[in-house]
Amino acid sequence: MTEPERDQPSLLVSLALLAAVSVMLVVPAHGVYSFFTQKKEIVAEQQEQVESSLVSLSANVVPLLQAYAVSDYQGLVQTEMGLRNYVAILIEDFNMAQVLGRPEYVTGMIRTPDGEVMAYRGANPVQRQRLTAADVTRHTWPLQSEGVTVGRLSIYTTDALVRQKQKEIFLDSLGDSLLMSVVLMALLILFSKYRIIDPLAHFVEALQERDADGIPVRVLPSFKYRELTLLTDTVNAMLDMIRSSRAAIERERTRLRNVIDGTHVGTWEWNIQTGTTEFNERWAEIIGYGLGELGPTTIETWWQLLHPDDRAKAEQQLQRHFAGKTPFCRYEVRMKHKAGHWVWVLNRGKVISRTAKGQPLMMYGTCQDISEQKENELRLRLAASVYECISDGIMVIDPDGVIRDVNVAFCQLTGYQAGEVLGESIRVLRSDQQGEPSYHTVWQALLTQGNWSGELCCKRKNGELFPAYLKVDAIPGADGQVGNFVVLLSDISHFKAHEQQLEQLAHFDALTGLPNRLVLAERLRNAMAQARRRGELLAVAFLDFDGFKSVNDRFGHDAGDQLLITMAQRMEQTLRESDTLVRIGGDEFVVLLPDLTEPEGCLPVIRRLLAVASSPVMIEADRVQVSASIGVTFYPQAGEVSAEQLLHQADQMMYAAKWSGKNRYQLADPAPGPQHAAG
Amino acid sequence: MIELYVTHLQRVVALLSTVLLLWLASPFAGAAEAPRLAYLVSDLRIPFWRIMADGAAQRAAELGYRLEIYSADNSARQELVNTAKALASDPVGLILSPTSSSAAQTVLELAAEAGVPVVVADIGTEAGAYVSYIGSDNEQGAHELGRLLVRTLEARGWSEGGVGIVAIPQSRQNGQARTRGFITALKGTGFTPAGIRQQVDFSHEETYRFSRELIRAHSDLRAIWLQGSDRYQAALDAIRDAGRAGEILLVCFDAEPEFIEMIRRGTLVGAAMQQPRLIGERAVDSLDAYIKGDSVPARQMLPVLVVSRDNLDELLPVIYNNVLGLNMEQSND
Repeated sequence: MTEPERDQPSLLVSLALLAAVSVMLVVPAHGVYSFFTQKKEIVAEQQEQVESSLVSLSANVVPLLQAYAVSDYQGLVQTEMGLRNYVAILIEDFNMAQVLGRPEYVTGMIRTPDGEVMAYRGANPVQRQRLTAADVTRHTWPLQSEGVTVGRLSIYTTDALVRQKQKEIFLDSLGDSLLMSVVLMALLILFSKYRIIDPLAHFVEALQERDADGIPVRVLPSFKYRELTLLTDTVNAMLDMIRSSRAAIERERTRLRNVIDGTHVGTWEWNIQTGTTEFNERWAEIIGYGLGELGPTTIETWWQLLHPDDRAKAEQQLQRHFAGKTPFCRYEVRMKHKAGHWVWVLNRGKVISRTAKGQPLMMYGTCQDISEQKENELRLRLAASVYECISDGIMVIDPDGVIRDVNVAFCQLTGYQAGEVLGESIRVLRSDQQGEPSYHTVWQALLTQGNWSGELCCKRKNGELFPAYLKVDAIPGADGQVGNFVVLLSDISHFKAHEQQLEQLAHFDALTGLPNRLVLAERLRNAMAQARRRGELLAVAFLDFDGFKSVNDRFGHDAGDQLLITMAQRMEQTLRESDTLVRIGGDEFVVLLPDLTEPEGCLPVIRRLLAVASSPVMIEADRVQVSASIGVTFYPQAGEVSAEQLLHQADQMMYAAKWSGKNRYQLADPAPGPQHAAG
Repeated sequence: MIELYVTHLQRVVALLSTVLLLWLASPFAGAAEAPRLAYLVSDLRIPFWRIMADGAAQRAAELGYRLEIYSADNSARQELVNTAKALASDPVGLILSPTSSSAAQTVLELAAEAGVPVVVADIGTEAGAYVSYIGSDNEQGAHELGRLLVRTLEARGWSEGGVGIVAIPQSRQNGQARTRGFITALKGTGFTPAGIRQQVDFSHEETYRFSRELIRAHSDLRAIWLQGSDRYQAALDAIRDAGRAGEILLVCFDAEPEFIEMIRRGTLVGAAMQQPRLIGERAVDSLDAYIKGDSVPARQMLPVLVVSRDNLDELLPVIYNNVLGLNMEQSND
């Protein structure tokens, strides 16, 4: 037991003393009350008894007095003395006094202090003294017979009875007090020990078994009595709450620590009034130090590490927050790294408590290394400038095809202002040109592959179409899914024109503009395939002008070229839409006539060609006239035949026509073999 | 018989007066005065007390005492007056036959105050100090009387039946003793007490009424026992009036002069007779012994004579002398 515990009072002793004092106070008080009550009752009862005795005795004594029956009325007196606790009953018998010649004749009974009742002897001084004692009261009653007083009855009472009663009550009270005290103390001690003290000891024992934080680890035992059980339950509930709170605090602390660790931020606690500032390890780590290297830390530690150019900004932000103008204090500053370079940090903080005068007292906050973010911002700014400065149009569309952003170049390219297309569908750029990849095809490719590139014909705001090269790439969203798409839009009008020019040169005859031999080979293969598919006949006509060499010779090559140009134009006009006229060189032309059901079906065209070829042509002032020989072969044939073989057969037929006289045509037999017809 | 008592009384008074006058006139009366004794008697008019006083006076004279007799005439007040007078005469001893045992107590207290020894004769006291009590053995007398009655009834061939009792007040010790002795005598016989009536005013009418009630209530009544002697005629009248004369017998306690003839004739089966003269003599003897410093028994019970026709003649001298206070010659006068 420790010193203070020994000095503290014992509950057991206190309860016992309390019981004893209570009994000592209550029982005597009750005794005093009982005494006065009983005293009053005793006095009244005594008075009543005396009166009753006087009346009854006098009634019985008078006849005996008259009969001189002294011993008889003495007997009555003795009986009355036996019944009542009087000091004495005396009868003064006038008759007897007269008979005996005495001044008085007094008989009766007197009670000695020992309680013995004996006959009264008037000569006995002790008895007389007893009757005249201070505590003795005399009650007299005249004894009358027929109106004549024959004697006097006297009853002597004493308050000794009251005193005796007082003594009895006192002794009773004392005895009761002692007995009740002993019993009560014993009961209280037993009760307290087994019902309160011992359970309390278990209670305290359970309380003393504590963990490192001083929190009891055991559930406190319950008591038998609900008041104490209430205490136990309350303490248990408090302990549960404390444990729960501690666990919650621990969880919160862990969470906070995890957040701090996770966010990798430094923390600081600043006593603004004293300047004392606590930093965490991460704070020091941001600037390349160990926390131990900086200690003891104050706000000056931070201030000295602050970039001189940023101090004014930091000071301004802090003062604004101290003045209550901002709910939080937030500013980005540079701090000197141990290695010598500057580290960008973001400081956030808030004043949590203030002094009684309203001055900021404690401020808590974080310090975040934002150097990388700053670099990213730099890169972003650079990227933004590229975005804005690049000559290609850039637009950002969402997965629904809605335009979300465009750059300046896009606006210049399309004629739209940014505000006119933002929120609009990408379809505003569609040209609806035939032969281009459909919007749907492009979109499917984007969704499945994430990118697409190709040429599309786009439409400017003014409706003008322009070829464009689009490179579309998906920008992944935060969830890894396709978020937006960035479309790089390049105007390739010039490129396309140049390309078309090259195409023209490669596939078309520069003089007449008709397809050349390269085109013929492709179109012939296509026509052959089509004829096979459809079960139709393809006629391949080989045309060579008769007399063209002489025109060149006579009118010059320009006239010859002019003749060829004119003839080409005239021949094209005689052909069907599905027919193809190809200049394969010099004055040789090949005509592909598909969609024939029979060989003769080609003859109208052939004949118109012959007619046109033989029509005169005015070249400058000269009238020039030539003719044409046409060899015709057909496809399909009985055997397998190639395009070259078909051209060769037509060429053979043309030579056959030439040999036959020119300005005519020669049809090959649809089946391989001899000629089929000639015209 | 009444005349006999009156004559006897007159003679006694004359005798006493003569003795007293002679004593007072004597020249030695003042010089050699005999020690005084006083006899406080309840009522000298009653023969019993007179006979007792005679006995006392005679014995006092024999022993050299001067006996002064004070009759209270059955008055308590007079008894107290007599007591005061007697004590004022400075007696050496006092014989007390009180008007009641209760009154005796007061007298004894007054005597004690005066320092005078007292012998109580016949009627006892409830309390108080006295030298000796001298009385009749009432229980013995009643018991013998009861035995006599049983023998007489059985002699008549009766083996069972009731005996009615007309008793003196049972509050008195002598009444209790008489009843106790008589009932004890009946125990073990075929005769039982049929009923008991206590006398209050001792009148003829009362005794007659009580007797009639007992006869009427108990058809098997064989006898009536009177615990007193003076109203024997009322009982006889009741038996006669009930038509049961000869069927219901009578026995009495105490004696009347005419009982001698009645016993002899069989009207009365028997009587238990006290001996007052003997009591008076014994009282003076006891006082004398006390004064002389001899030891005196505190209680002296004198035998009661049970007289029947069988022993009447034998006891007659004793009866005359001690019971009736007469001598044979006087009785024959």
